[in-house]
Amino acid sequence: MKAVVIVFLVLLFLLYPSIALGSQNHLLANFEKKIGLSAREQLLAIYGGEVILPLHKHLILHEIFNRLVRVVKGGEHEYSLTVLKSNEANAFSLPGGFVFVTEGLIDLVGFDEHRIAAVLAHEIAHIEKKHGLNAVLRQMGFSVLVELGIFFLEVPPTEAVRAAVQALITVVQSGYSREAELEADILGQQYLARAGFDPVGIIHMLSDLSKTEGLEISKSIFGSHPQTSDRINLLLENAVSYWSPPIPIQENTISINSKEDPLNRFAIRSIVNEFGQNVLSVYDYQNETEVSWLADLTICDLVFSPDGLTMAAVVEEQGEYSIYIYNRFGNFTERRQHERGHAIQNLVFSPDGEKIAYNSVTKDSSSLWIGFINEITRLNIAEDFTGIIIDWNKTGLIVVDEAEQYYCISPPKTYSAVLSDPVPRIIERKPRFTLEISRSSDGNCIKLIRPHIFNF
Amino acid sequence: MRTIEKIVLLLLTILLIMSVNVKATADYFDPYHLFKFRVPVGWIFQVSESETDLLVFYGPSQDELLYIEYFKEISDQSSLEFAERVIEHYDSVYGLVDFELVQELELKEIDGISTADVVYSYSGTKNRTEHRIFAVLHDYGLTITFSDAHDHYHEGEVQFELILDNWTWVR
Repeated sequence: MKAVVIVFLVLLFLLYPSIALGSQNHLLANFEKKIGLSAREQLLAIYGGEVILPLHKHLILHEIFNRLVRVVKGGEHEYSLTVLKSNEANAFSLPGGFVFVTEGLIDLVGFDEHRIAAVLAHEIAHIEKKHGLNAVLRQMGFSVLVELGIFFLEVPPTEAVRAAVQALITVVQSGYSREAELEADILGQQYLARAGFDPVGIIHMLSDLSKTEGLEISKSIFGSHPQTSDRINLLLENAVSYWSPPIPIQENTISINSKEDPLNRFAIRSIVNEFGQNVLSVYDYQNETEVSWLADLTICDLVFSPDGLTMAAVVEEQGEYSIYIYNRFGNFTERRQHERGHAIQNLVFSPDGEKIAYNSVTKDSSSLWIGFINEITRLNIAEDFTGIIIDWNKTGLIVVDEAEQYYCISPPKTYSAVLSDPVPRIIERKPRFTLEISRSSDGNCIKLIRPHIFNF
Repeated sequence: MRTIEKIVLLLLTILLIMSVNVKATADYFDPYHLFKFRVPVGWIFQVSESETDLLVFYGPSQDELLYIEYFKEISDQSSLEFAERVIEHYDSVYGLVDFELVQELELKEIDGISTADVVYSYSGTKNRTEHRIFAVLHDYGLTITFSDAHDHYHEGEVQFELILDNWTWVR
């Protein structure tokens, strides 16, 4: 018996480096599952138990999760997803394939499928890279290896295994190492792209979280270190790799979209301003006047989104260029300041209206950028390629270089999380919105009382 | 008032009443010209609640609701298969709260097409009962649902039966 244990110890010591490198290890799979399962029960109790989301949210959430699980290579784990009944915005995973998100997190992201997918992909990456297991083995050191030897001889779990579960819970709640977090970010981004979700979803998610950091609503989600800004920068660099390189195309295959208002109310006009510059203005046919909300700005370029609901304008202010985003009714929603000395040219909306492409031009160079509307994300998609942006159609961004060769640069392919077999909705009637009238006590005036409206 | 004026006024009144009646019992053609049905008196189409794949009508009483949902891509081979799959979801742990079948799933012919017909109750903001028809046609699926608060369900169901009796598949 003693000899068998020694053999196991030797084997485990030999296998330890390969565990740290994240390779598959069937010997530890059972142990992983056991400690994951035990920790799951304890974490469920800590977080107030599981909650079942309403029917359609539940189905979509699992559709997103299953799409991600399908692209994980190896398939060593049987993955499960649990939604925790907690207002804290959090997500974590346990060895053996257990992934958790809180209701608070789902509320925070407003059920945005790319953001939810980003969270789940990051947690799946932690499991695939065995970050939890490795952290426990590092913490427990030799003692757990001895106990593992006994464990594999099918002796019931001992104190050391129970201690491993406690160590795991501590690790999960306090966050992984900087290296583990960065590794999960990059691998998670890869899973997103493979599963047809936008790889920038993880950047948007981290950006959301950075806004809540001071509010203490997110505690250990995605780990507390490294700095969110470092992670975002790394992910931004990596996100560019999911765009295709410029692929030469024939000129006659291009149809250029109009830059005019698709709803035909506004017209973009070129005018000369008080400084003698050639600038743009927008004429409103309905009110038969120039739009007032652009009147004081020097507009160098202006485009409408394909649905006509958003417009983007390049504004120059004392040599500095910014992109101003307005909705159709003239409400300003966003301003993106650009690097000093870089002019912005050739604004083009993506067909879905969620992104905008532009050239950033200096005396010596021109680069291609993509900005995401209402998000912090900006990608320099073709660092070593200069070309003028012509259009953005369904195949991708159309660019022409100095030799008048046309190219297409395609974004990563994404598709919406829809149920392959649809489930009909359940609808309840909203209460009638009628005002109750009651007379004031002195009888001199009446009060209008708005009835209570249920939230559906 | 002269006699002739009285007659004109009477005729105008009759015409007005007739036009109201015509409107109240007008046929509703769906936007994709797939079906039509006679809208019962007092039922109103809800523009703000309807979407491209959903038509919503409110009935005269407080909780009465008729809604029709389209499904462009559906893999179910028959109405019964469609209904069985959906009922399984509704009756699961993540399904409808307190889901209970009031009337077992059965086949029902509507204007020559075989559909699946089921009545169930569940707890929403109120206890509700729904009568749902599942149809799988050539290249799309459709559900036609009458829904009401449990206590008043039987009062409005008669109207739903009338709607189904007058239902016509256009294509």
